[in-house]
Amino acid sequence: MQRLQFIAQRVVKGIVVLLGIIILNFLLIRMAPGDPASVMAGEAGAADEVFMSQLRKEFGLDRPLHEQLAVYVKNVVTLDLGYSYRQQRPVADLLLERVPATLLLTGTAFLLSLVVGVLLGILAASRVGQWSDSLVTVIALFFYATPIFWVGLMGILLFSVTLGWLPSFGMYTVGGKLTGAAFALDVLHHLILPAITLALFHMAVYARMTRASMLEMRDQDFVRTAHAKGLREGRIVRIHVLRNAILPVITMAGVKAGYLIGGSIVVETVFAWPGIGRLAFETVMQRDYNLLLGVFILTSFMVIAVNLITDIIYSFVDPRIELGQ
Amino acid sequence: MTGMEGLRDFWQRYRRNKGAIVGLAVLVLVLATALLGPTLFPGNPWDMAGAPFQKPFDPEFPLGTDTLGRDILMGIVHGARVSLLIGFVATFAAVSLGVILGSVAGYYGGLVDDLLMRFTEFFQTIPSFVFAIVLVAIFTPSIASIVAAIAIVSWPPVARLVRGEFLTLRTREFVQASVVLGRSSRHIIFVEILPNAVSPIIVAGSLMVATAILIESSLSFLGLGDPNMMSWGFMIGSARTVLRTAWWMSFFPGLAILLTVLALNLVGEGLNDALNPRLTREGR
Amino acid sequence: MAASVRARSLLEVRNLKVALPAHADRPFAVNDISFDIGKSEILCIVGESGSGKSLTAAAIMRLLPRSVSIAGGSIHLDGTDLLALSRTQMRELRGRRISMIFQEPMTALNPLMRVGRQIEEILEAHTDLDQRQRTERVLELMHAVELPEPGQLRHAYPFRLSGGQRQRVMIAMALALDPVLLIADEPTTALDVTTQKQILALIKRIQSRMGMGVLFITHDFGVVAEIADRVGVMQHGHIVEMGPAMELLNAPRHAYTRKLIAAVPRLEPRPTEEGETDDMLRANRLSKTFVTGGGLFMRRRVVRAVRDVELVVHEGQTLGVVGESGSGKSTLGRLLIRLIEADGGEVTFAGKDFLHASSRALRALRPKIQMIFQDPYASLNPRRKVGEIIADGPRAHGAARAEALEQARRLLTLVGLDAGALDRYPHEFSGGQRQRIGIARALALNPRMLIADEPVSALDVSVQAQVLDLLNDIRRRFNLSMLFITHDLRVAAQVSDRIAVMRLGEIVEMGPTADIFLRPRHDYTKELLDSIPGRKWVAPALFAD
Repeated sequence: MQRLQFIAQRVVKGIVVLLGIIILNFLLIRMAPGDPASVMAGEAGAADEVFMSQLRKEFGLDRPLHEQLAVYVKNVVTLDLGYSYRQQRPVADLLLERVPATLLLTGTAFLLSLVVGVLLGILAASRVGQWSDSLVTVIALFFYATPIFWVGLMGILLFSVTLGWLPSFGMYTVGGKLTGAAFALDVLHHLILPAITLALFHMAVYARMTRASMLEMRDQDFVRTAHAKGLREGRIVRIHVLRNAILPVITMAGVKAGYLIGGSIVVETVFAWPGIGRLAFETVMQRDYNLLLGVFILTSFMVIAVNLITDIIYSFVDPRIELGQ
Repeated sequence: MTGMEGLRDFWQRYRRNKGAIVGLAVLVLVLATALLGPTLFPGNPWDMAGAPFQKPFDPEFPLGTDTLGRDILMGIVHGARVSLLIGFVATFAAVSLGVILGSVAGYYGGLVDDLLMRFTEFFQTIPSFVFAIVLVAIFTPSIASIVAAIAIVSWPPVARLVRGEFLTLRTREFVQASVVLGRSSRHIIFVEILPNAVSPIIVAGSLMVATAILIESSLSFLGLGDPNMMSWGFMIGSARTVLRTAWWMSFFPGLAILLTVLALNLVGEGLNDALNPRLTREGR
Repeated sequence: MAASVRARSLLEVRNLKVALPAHADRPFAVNDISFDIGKSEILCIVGESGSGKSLTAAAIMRLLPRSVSIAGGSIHLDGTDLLALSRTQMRELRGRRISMIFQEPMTALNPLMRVGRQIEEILEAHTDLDQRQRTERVLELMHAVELPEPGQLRHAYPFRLSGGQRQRVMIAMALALDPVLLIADEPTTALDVTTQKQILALIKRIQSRMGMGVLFITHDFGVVAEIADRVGVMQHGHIVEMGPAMELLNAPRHAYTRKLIAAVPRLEPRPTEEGETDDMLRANRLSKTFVTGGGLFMRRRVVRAVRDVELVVHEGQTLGVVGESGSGKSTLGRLLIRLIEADGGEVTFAGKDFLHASSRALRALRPKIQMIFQDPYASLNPRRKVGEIIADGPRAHGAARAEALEQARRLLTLVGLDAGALDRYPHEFSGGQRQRIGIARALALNPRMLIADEPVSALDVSVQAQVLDLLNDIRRRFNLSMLFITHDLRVAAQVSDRIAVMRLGEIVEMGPTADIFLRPRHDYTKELLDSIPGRKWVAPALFAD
């Protein structure tokens, strides 16, 4: 019951935040230098004065601001994100067809970074001061400091250009006409390099955090109690240290979801991965702002959803959650 | 812990972290490059200096030339200035904003705190890099818009940190003693609380410079850099298409970013060890 | 002779040395100590902070902090050399033959595991019992330590339990496998007196029923008097005196033991100062309610911290406010001095309405009523020099810097510190010295009244006595009125002219100190008095030499 209340509270909060982002979007269009209509039309509209006035009318730009806002919010909520005059298609359609590719990439990278990062953190913490700890620490330090696009490019250089092991471009072999399992394998083959590229930075984050958190936990009083009970070292680490140490990592994973989606813009650009990130890059190149703002709303929505899921997972792991934040 | 003695203490503790010493050395080198580079390598990094596609380790062009025959070493030297400038200015802006909002929320508490924290959480939920792209794209890329965008997406963690510090320090007995003595809020905030909250702010700030440089490089990699300034991210972005034939054009600027960011992170960790002695790994 | 001791003793510690890390203030935390614990005997090791008593306990369990190590000596349990055992053998012994309970019940249990599971875990580790047998044993143990409704409570997470209940869970765990030796490291220090009494009684009852040996670490001679068969007194890593409890408590021989026992506040109510004086502070129907949480879906938590409190502090007198944690006594002190704003009621100070004073009027009144705080480590700003800290009050009210510093110099001498302290930082001083600095700061504005919130509870007993003497001295010298908040009835008896007993935000009884101690009327007052550890022991009149 209390968990339901907690989840309901988080859902409401998420909706409020989303509404705030929609309003922010609206304000951004209005605050941008120049005519909102030209912002929405992008470069496409700049030349044609008749087309612009038609746009202004369509969006109610001649009406008072609060009415415009109401129209805008209503449109977004009903999934009408406007029209990309560059691509000559509705924004919502353009976005939706790109969602699966991005989910595949970010989802894989998320799991990879979390699992490997936590494992490395545990390894380092349980061998603190030894060479394996130092190695993990140094690796984490490096990937924490490396720009993600550069990791991607160097990966291509090594694994595609030099070794020829992995494809460097796209999501599947163009003109391959593969189906079923063969197609899935082909996609997987294309996924390896971008997913690892995207995962490395966050892997470093989780590894550092898990290590620090484990080291902090093993000095807690309840761990001393566990030792005094004569429990085996392995059980103490697994049940007492790790379970408590993982809580801040879960919180961090939720917070970092936004960064993962941000990183996917760069990675999709490097690997020509046909997802939302790649689309974002194209919109920037073509100054297709209406589409870019659509990307902004969609990615925000994804982050809010991930945060909600993390909160729910957290509420199952930590019994104290009902006491409030 | 102030004065000369405190400084010596601080240095003693900082010195114990070897990585932090290396980081400091590299950072000093990068800073020197940024300050003196344009004097040592006079000229315009955008100018064609030699034949395009020259390989590195050549006496004239140690790091080679790019697709338009520009000297890559020269680009990196000039780019250091942009990266550090944007990194430090954006961090300064973000930290200032964070400290102001965080201290107001933490000191006054109640409804003010509630509102400010909802506001902060809101900005923390927005995917920051996407938001930065939107801001720079809509307000057209320039040093000012890039700095503003990075600052706008970076301040929330500082605000939360400072608020947390203020919340705990506010209930500390020496702050209550100050209230009882009849001190003003201004005195309490600036003399009693803030000096005790400075250490974590400095550490967070030093780490944030690193993050800001990474964001800047990503923005300019995507073509959202200031079109008048040579930057590391831009160099990699424009060399991306010729990666297969000319690896050095992407490799060296990337290495410059890596070393700078790594150095900043190491310095940040060293500061953390030196300023928050209780949290050092040594005691474990 | 050695052979006969070996036959009798359960635990033999010989020439034990525990080494501290290189940069510590002394090389050995525990320096060459030897003692025995007999079967079914309770040995108390008593000492002040830093005496090495807790590390002695940890050394026997071989659970020392990483930076500390055993540097010599031997520990035998029932003839087994504990220091010669392998790690695995030692692990198997822990929890089965020797158990340990700790000081902080709030943090000693895993917050993410149900308490029943935590008890069951020790059975899993050391026995072959199946699931059903384990559950049965868990219920039996929870019953044995008198936890309510074990059937339901075993499914609860630790945060649901009170401090006393958590300590009972710890004891249940410690007893699960009938160990021969129980090590208790200050197990009741974090608990309220009434809970402490129950836990002490429980340990004693179980000990005599099971015939366990107990090593009981404490700093409190009252607790020693309550529970010990034999006592060892530790100072700077040495055992300076050891003997049967009654002998040592009533006729201590070593100078240090004599000093410690002399410092224990006598349980003799101080005679109330004669003659009615004017009211200095008067509170009427003072109330404060805290509301936390709240919001769309969260439950609001409402705590009525202070309810309709009425009290009077007479000029030149001390009103002691006693109560357990959560009684609202600290909140009351902060309401009276307006660190927290009250919800309602009246406070009259020196004839003026204090509670509703405008900020300007409040500023004028502030110097006249000052506060002394509990934690000597948190009550001084670590970044300011002692001189600036003491001069802060006069500076706030317009005094010139040089003048204020000169006054600070005089005050330092008054509170028994060297004037050279002016230019030093708080971290260079000990807890007792810091508390003196805090007193000097409060005196700098020539107040007429002090509110002292547990001013000695963070100090060792010998330092505590000195600070209490200082407070008493300045109170007489400046004819100060005082509100003295404390959880320690011994201290209250010593400093107060009158006493107010608080429970759940209300004053349940108030009167002259002698009346409260000798003729308590309220049941709760009686219960509190009855819970004072070692209340039957009358500390001998000693002159600390």
